[in-house]
Amino acid sequence: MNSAVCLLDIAAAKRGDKTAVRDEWRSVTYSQLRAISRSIGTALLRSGSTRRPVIVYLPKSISALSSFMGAMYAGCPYVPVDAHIPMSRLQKIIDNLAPGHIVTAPDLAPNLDTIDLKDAQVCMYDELCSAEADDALIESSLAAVCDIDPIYVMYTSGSTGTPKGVTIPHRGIIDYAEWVTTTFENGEDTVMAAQAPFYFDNSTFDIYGTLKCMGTLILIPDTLLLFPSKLPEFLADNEVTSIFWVPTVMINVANSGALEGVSLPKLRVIAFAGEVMPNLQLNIWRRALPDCVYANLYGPTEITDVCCYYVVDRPYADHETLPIGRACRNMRLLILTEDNREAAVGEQGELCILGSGLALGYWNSPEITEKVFVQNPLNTEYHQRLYRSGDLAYVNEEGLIIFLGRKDGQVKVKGNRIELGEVEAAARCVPGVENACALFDSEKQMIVLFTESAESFTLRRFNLELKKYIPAYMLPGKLVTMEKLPYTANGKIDRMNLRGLI
Amino acid sequence: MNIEEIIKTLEDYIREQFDIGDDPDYNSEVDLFEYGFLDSMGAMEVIAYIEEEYSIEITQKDVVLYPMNTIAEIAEVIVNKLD
Repeated sequence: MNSAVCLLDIAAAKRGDKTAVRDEWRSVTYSQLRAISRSIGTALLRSGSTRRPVIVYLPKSISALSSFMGAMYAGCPYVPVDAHIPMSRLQKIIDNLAPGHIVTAPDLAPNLDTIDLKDAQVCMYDELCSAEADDALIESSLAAVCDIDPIYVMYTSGSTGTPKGVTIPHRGIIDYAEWVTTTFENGEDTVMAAQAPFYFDNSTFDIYGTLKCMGTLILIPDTLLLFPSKLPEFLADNEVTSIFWVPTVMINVANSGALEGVSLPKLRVIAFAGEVMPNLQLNIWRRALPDCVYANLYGPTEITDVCCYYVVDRPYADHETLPIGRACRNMRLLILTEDNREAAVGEQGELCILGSGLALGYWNSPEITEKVFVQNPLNTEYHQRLYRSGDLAYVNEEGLIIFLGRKDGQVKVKGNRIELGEVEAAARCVPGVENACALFDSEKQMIVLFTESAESFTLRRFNLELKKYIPAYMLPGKLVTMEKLPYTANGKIDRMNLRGLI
Repeated sequence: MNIEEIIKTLEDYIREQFDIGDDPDYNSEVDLFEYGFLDSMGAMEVIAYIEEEYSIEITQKDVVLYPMNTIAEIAEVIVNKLD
C-alpha cells in the first residue's frame, strides 16, 4: 500500500453501502465518501499545483474528512486547521507552508481576506464536490505516490511563537491503522465516537482505525463536548463500541456523575492519550463499566500519534501512576541519559523514539528538525534517525515505561501541547503589555500568566485580546498583572521568583 | 413561569456562581463560552442547576439541536420543556 487513501478504496469496494461516517448534519456510506473524495481530488488536480499542501479550513465534519481524502487522491499532503484559528496564527502557518490550495466554505472564506495567502488558491468545498471524478487522472496521481511521501502536516505550538509543522509520511498512518485494528480487535461492527479535533493527531486513531476495519465513525458534535455530562447518553444512543478520548474529557465525564447507573452494553474499548490519566477518575469509569478494555496510549505528534501503550491489566489505587507501557509494533523506545547511555531500570532519561511512525521532520524548517531528529547515538554501525521527545521517563521493574514530565517549557493542558514561549509571545502582542512570563501550575493543571503593564486587566478581558493570536486552548487560567516583573542580575525574568508566587 | 423570569434567575445564578460581578460584557445575549464566562466544567454546573431548579432533563439531543450558548438561548430551551 503506497497511500493511506487506498484504505478508503478497499472499504468502498468491500462494504460500499455501509455507513462510513456520521456527523451532526449528515451521514455517508463508504461508496459516497469515496465518490465525493474523488471529485475533490479531481478538482484539485485539474487546478494544478501537484504535491503542494492543501489546507483544510473547515469545521470537524464529513466535509473536512472528505477533503483530506481528496487531497490524498490528488497526491497532496493535507493540513487540518481549526475553524476558529486566529488569523495571525494562520498567517504564520501559510508563511511556513506555502500551500497550493485552501479548502473552505462561504461562511469562513471572508476571514481569509484579512491575511496574505501568497499564491494559494481558495476553493469552496461545495464547488470541489461538484466536479466530475476522473478516475484515470486519480489513478495516475496515486501511482506516483510512495509511502514515504507526506500524508499530512499538523501544526503544534512552537516556543518562539511560530507553530511547527510536523510532517508525517503515509507509511506512519498505514502502520498505525494496522496496529490500532489488531491491538483493539476492531472489526466491521466497530462504532467509534471521535472526540479529538482533526487538527490534533489523536484524530488519526479515529479516522484510520475505523477506515481500516470498515467500521462506522461518529463525529461528536463540538457543542456536545461543552456538556460532558451528556456524553454517556450520546454513546448509548449511537451504540458506540470504541472511544479514544483525551483524559480531560474522561475526567469531566467521571466527575459529572453521569456514569452512575449508565448502561453501555456495546462499549468495549476505552483508550486515552494526550496527558496523564489519573486513576482517581479512571477508577470511576472502571467501576461503572468493568468489562471494557482500558488502554493508556502515549506518543508525540512527531511519531504518528502513538508509539507505546499499556492495556490496564490490574486494579490501581487512586494515587498510583499508570504506566505508558511498552512500544507498539514496529516502534522502538530508548531512554537515554544526558551522556547518551541507555538508562538502567529505574533511572530517569529522555524518551527517544524510532520506527515506522517517525515524522519526516518539521515542514520547511531544517534547523529545528536537525535539533530533535538525530542519529541514534547507540547505533554506530549505520545511519538511523530517532526523535528526541523532550519527555522524561524511566522503566520500572516490570519493564513498563513510566512518564515523568518535560525537560523544557512545553506543557500539556487538556491534552493540547503548548509551548509556554508561544503564550508569552502572544501576551507581548497585547497593547500595554511590556513583558510576560507564562508558568504552569501543575496542581491546578493550568497556565498562570504574569504580565508587566501599567494597566491592570481582568483575566477574561485579557483572554479576549490573546485569542487574536493563539487558540483558545492556550489561554491562561490565571493572570497576575505587575508594574514590574522580577528580573535576575543578568536581566532575565526571574522565573524561580514568580514560581514562588503561584 | 415566563421567559423573562427564567432569564433573570439564570443571570443571577451565573453571575453569583462564577464571580462575574458587574462585568460590563455580561448580559443575557452574550455568548458565554466565546466570552470566557463559562467553560465545560461551568456548563456542567449550570446544567445540573437547571435540571434541579426546574425539575426537567436536558438531554444530549437538546444540547446538539438547540443553541445553548447564551442565557436567552438556555432560557428558551427551559421554557419549551416546561410547556
